[in-house]
Amino acid sequence: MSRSRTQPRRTLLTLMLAPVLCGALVAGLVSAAWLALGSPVPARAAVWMQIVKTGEARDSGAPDQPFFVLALGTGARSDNPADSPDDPGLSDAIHVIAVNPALGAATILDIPRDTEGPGGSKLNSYIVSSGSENLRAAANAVSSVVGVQLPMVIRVNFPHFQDMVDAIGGIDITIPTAMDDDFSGAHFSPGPTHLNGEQALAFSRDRHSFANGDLSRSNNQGLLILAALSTLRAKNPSAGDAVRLVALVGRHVKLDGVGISDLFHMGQLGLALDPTNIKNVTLPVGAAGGSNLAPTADAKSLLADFVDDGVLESH
Amino acid sequence: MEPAPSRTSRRETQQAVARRRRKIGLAIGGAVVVIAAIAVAVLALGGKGSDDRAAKTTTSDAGPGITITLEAGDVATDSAGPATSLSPAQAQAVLTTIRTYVDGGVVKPLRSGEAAGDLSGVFDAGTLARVTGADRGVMLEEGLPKVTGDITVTGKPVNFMGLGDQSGNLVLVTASVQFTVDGTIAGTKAPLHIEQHGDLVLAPDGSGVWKVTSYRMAVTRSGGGIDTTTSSTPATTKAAK
Repeated sequence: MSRSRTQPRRTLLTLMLAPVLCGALVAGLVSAAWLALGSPVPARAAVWMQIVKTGEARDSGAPDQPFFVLALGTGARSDNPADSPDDPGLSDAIHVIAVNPALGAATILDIPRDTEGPGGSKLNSYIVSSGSENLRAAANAVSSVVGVQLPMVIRVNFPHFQDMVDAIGGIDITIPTAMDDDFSGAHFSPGPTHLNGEQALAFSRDRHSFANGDLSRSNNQGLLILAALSTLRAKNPSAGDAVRLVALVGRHVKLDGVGISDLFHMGQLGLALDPTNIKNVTLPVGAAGGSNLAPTADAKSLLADFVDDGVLESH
Repeated sequence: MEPAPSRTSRRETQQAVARRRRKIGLAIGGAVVVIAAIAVAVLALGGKGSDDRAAKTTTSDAGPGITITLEAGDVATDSAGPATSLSPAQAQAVLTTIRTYVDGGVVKPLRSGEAAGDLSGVFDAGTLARVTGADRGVMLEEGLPKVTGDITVTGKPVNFMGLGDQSGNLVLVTASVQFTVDGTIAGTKAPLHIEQHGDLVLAPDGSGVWKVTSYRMAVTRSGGGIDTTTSSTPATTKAAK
């Protein structure tokens, strides 16, 4: 009698306690392991971009001096050349971005890929690997054309670019002209639109929709950089937002000579810029030898205006 | 040979054993629950992206008739690598630097009617050059009529956001600040009201002192015939160097 009364009570108690104990045990074990191992290191994240310090900027000690950054977009599908031997990773997107903190203004100078560099090679052919030294060589080549030292290089590959745009929630942009190109996948009507990563990549690759091919493409790439900045600025108004953004990018960037603090200050400065104070200009070029292009006479005065303070006052 | 225990005594023994087992089971279960709860609590305090509230308030009398009240608000972090955290001591150190700025850059110039003193303990060298140059009119309360009587600085809770680098080291903290300054202008006895708001970015210098490395602030001044609103130009950049 008594035994039969005790048995159901014990069963009930066991049923009630079992899940609690199991849950507590699992939580305890996981927590203990976590504590023992320290904070978990996130799984290796995909590297969206590479930022390399290539040299010292002109530095008078004043914090307001202009600075110049080379932004390259390469066609390589991988960061490891051995993974894609027939993909040389030509840098078909070449842009020098100048920021003048004192004036609160900036310029995006789009350099056509066929522009001739030192030794007669096209500027898009200087990157053959993802090594920092190679990026420095590319910076020197572009620097010799533009006439200003480029102390920092940012390099993004096709698939990473797509991931990056998706991660920041896409880009709001106004498409300037109709685009209809099966090669790149760009099929857009003029007007405001929102681009996801795949669409942004198509927009920046299309050269077949334009009579002047790569020149318009290069200008569109500059437009996309500007649109990305405007979108990020609208979404990240405070310094705290900039921290979140830099932490996100920081988890996907390979840095050489540049710290996360530098990235933050650069990002904060970029986000503080009024997009109406940023000019997007394509370097005027004409025929050189073969299919190479060279800066025109007009380009020389534009470059002189550009390199003095990073802002185009007379162009 | 011992006599066989009676049925009653066997039942009592079984019940006693059952009670003991139950007690032991409950004790073990309780201990596990308590340990788990403690571990989870510790994790919550030290984990990635922690959102805390450092409730420490700095209310001080910076001199006769001067009261500065600044309070730490929400504390959060994000990291480019492993989780990072901003400890209450670090938040307090950042708050102390901000308080030193308010005292030296705002209150003292108002009280003396003279230029601010040495602020090298508040700003790093590059930023100080800018504060005492282009953005002097925003960051420092200089060139205003002398203020007599009480000067009261009242701040909203300062929210902190820390950034960790790719190794999880805390490299900088942003502080969202908003405070008002009230006083009475000497002579005319007109009330002076100042409102400052914006973001300060602080990082530890070589000796571990938290200093402002960039800022984006706006100020509005009213009273005594002074009505102005000024904003600082975009933040300074370390990357330019």
